[in-house]
Amino acid sequence: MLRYLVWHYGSGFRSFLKAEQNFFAFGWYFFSISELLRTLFSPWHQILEKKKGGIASSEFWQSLSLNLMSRVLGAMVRAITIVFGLVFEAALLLILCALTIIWLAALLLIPTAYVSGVLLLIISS
Amino acid sequence: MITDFEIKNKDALSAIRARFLFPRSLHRLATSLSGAASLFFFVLAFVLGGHTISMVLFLWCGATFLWLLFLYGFIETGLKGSFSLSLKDRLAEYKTGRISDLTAFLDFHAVGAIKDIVNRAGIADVFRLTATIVSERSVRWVFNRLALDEKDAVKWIKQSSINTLAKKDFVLKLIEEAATYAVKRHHATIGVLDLFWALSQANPALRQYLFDHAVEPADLDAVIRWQDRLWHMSDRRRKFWLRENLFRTQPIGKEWSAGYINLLSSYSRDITDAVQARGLDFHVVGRKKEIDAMEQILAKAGENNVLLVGEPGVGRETIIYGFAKRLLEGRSLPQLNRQKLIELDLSAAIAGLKTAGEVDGRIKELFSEAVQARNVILIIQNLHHFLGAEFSGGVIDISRAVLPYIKDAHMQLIAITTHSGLHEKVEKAGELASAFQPVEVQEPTLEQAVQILVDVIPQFEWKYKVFIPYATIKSIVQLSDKYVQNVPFPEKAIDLLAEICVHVVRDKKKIIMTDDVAAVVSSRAQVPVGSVGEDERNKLLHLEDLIHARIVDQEEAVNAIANAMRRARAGVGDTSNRPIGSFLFLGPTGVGKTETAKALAQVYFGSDERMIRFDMSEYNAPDAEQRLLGSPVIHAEGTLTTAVRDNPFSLLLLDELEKSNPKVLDLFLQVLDEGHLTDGWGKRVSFTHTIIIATSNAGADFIRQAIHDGKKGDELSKGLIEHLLSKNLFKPEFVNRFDGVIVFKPLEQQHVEQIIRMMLKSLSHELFHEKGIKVEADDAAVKKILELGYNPEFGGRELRRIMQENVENVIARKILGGEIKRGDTFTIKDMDLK
Repeated sequence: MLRYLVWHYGSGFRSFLKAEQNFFAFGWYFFSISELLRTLFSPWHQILEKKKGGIASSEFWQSLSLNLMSRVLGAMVRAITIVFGLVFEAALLLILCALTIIWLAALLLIPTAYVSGVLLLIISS
Repeated sequence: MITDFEIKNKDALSAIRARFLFPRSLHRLATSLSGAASLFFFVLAFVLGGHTISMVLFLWCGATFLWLLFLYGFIETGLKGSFSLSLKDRLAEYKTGRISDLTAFLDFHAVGAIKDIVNRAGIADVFRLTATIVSERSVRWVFNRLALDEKDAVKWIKQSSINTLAKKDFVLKLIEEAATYAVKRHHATIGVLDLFWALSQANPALRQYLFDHAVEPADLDAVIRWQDRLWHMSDRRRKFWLRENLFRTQPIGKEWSAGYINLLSSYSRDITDAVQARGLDFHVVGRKKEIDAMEQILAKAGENNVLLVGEPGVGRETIIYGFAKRLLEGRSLPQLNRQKLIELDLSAAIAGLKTAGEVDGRIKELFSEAVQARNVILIIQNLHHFLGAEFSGGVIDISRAVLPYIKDAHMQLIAITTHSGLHEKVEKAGELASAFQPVEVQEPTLEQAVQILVDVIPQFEWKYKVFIPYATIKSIVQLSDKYVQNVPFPEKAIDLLAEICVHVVRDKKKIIMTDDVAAVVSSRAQVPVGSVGEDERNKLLHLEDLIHARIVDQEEAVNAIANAMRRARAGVGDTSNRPIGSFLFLGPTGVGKTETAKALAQVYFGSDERMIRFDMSEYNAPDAEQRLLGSPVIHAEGTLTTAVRDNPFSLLLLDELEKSNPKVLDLFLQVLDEGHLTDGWGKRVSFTHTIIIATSNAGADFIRQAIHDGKKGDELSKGLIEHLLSKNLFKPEFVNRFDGVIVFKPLEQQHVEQIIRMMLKSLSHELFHEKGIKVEADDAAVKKILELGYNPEFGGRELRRIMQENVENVIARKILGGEIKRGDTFTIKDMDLK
C-alpha cells in the first residue's frame, strides 16, 4: 500500500501533471495564440500596397486606407481566434483542474462512491 | 522450483504476481467495460431524472473504473518502470565491486524469465533460461527476422551434447553482460533482449546454433536494435498524451501573416504539408550533419541560400524531408520553425512560354511571391538545367531573373544540383554561384544503407505481401554495392529491393531469401553471383581447357590466368579492393594475346563482348589522362571511367600499354593497387569487378632471341622484365603491381597449323548454322594456307586476312554460282587457293 501511495502522489502524479501540461500547451499551440498575438496588427496575408505620390495625392491616401484595412481585418480575425483559443483554454483548464482534484482525492473518492451507493440504496428502500 | 537466487527488484516481482492473478488483457477489458457502464448509467440516471438504481450503478461503476485505471497505471508504470538510479553508474559500481548485483535493474519481463532459473543447490538451468527467453515475444520477432525458427533452436539446443547446467555465478555474469549491452543501447533497465544478447555470447549451445545458421554477432545486434526502435516507436505513438503526438495537427492561423502564393502554388508542392500528411514517424538515417549545415545557412542574415550537391539517388530528397520533419516538430532554429518548404516545378512553370522575356517575367512573379510570403523556403530541383540550357530553340538562363531575389534576406532558396551540374553550370554563373553556400551530400555508408533499407522494408512487405529477413537486406546492400556502380546508395539498394519483390511475387513466394537476391543480381549483371553452381564449378575447374578451345599453346599464360580466376570466384586471398585479376601480357604480335583476353571474357563473363578495349597508343598526348578520366574543362566524360562505370563486369584490355603517356601508367598504378579511380567530377569508379589485361609487344626481339637460346619459363620471364626495366619502358613498381607478367612465346609452324584448323572448323560451324553447308579442307590445303599465312615476325596475325581472301572468297563464289547447295560438304583443296 505504501508503495502505491508513493507512486500515486509521486511519479504517477508527476506524469499525470505532465500530460495535463501537454494538453494545455496543445490548446495554446492549436489556436496559435502566441503567434497571433505577435502578429496581431500585421497585414492580412501581407496584402499591402506601395504608397505612391506625396501626402497630398489621392493615391497615397487610397493605398494608406487599403493597408490600414488589411491590418484591421487581420487584427479582427486574429483577435476572434485568440478569444476562441482563450475560452477553449479556460474550459480545458477547468477540466484539467477537476481531473487533478479527482486524482488527488481518488483514495477518498473511490471508497466514498461505493459507500454512497450503498447508502443511496438503503435510503431509497 | 524453490529458489534462493535473490532478485532485488521487488517491484517487478510484485508486478509479475499481480499480472499472474490479473492478466493485462483482462485488466484492460474490465477497465473499458466499467468506464462504458459508468457513462451509460450516468446518462440513464440523468434521463430518468435521478433514478436511484442507475445512480447507484453509476457510482459503483465509476468507482470501479477509477480503481482499475489507477491500478493499471500503478502496475504498468509504478511497478514495472520504477528505476530512479542510473544503470550506467550502477554497472560501473558493480564492476569495481562496490555493489554485489544488478538484479534490481532487470525489467518486468527479464525478471519473469530469470526468476526460477537457479535452484536451491545454486545450479542454474541455462537450457530452461534460454528456452524461456527465446519464447518471449520480442525475441521471437528477432528470430523471425533472422529467418530462424525459435522452436527449432530450442530443439537443437536440447539435443546438442553441450552441457546446459551452470553455477549461479553464470547467471550473475550473464546479467552483467546484459547490463553492459543495455548501457550500450542507452537503456535504463535490463530487458529480455539484453539477456538474449548476453546468452548468445555466454551459452555455447546457442552460440553454436547461431554460428551454424550464419548469424554474426553484428547481425544479431542490428536486428535487436531494429526491434528496439520499432517497439520504442509504437510505444510512443500509443501514448496519445505526449507532446509529439498532440502537436501532429496543424494549428489554426499559422499562415495568416504570410503572403498569398497563388501563382507559386499552381507550380509547386508543399513539402511540409506532404510530410505532415505522411506522418512524422519516419527515421532519417545519418543526415544530421547536412541538415544542421542547411539550417545554419538558411538562418543567416543576408544571403541565405543552400546549394545541395549530390548525385541523384544519394538521398538529397531525404535531407529535405528530414528538414521538413524538424520544422514540423519545432526542433529547427527559432527563425526557421514557422517556415514551410515549397518545391517549385520550374519546368512546368516555364512550359509554354515562348521567349526569354516571358520566362524572366514568370520567374520574377514566382520569386516575388515567395519573398512576399515571408514563410517560404523555396526548393528548386536540378538548378543546372536552368542555367544555359536549350529552350524553345534558344537558351534558357534564369540567373539574371533570380539574382535580385536570392540576394534578398527574405528569400530562402534550396537549390539542388549534381557535381557535374555544379562544375559545368553553377560555378560558371558568377554572381549567382556566390549567392549560394554548397552543402555536399555524401553517399551513405554500407551500414547506413542497411539501416535505410530496414526503414523502408515495412512498406515493401505491406505492398508485396512478402517477408524480408535481415540476411536478405544485408545481401541486397552488399550485392548492390558490389554489382551496381553507376547509381549511389541508397537508391541502388532500394531499386534492387523493388525488383526482387516483383520477381519473388511472380514466383508466388512469401519470403525473400538471399538466393533470390543473387538470382536477380546475376540476371541483371550477367555474371554469376552467390554460391557457385554446378555448371560454373565445372567451368572454373576446367578453365584451361575452355580457353584452349580458342587458344593454341601458351600453357603458362593460360594456367596463370585460370588460377587467378578460381581464386577470385572462391573468394580466396585479398580480392576485396583490387581487380579480380591483372596481367601484363608480353610477347610479339600475333601470338594470341588479344585472343586469350577474348577467350577469358567469354568464359568468365559469358561473352567476348564483355571486353572493353583501349588502344593505349592513342593516349600518348599530354591530355591523355584528362581524356581517360573526363573533365569539366574539356566538357567530356572520361572514356575509361564511363566505360567501366557502364560495364563494371568486364575485361579491360589495354593494348600496347607501353606507348601511352607516363601519367597514364601512374593512373593504372592506382587502379591496380586500390581498385578504383576518381573521375574528373569527383565520382569514384570501382575496378574491383574487372579483369585487367595490359598487352605489350615491347621486348619481342628479346623473346625471340631468348627462345632461340633455349630459355623458357621463369628464366625467360625474369630476363624479359629486366630487359624492359633497363629500357625504361615500365617502372619496376608498375610491373610489380600485376598479378602476373605472362610471356607469350612466338608461334611455331605447328601451332599456326592448329590455329588454321580451328579457324576452318569455326567457319564450317558458322556456314552450317547459316546455310546448312559444311566445310572441310584437305591436308594440302591447310599446308597451302600455312605457307601463305605464317610469318615468323607477325605470328598468326595475317591468318584472318589470308582466310578471308582465299578460303571465304572461294566459298562465296561457289555458293553464288550454285556449285554448293544446302546439305553439301565442300572440301577445300590446295588448287582452290591462290
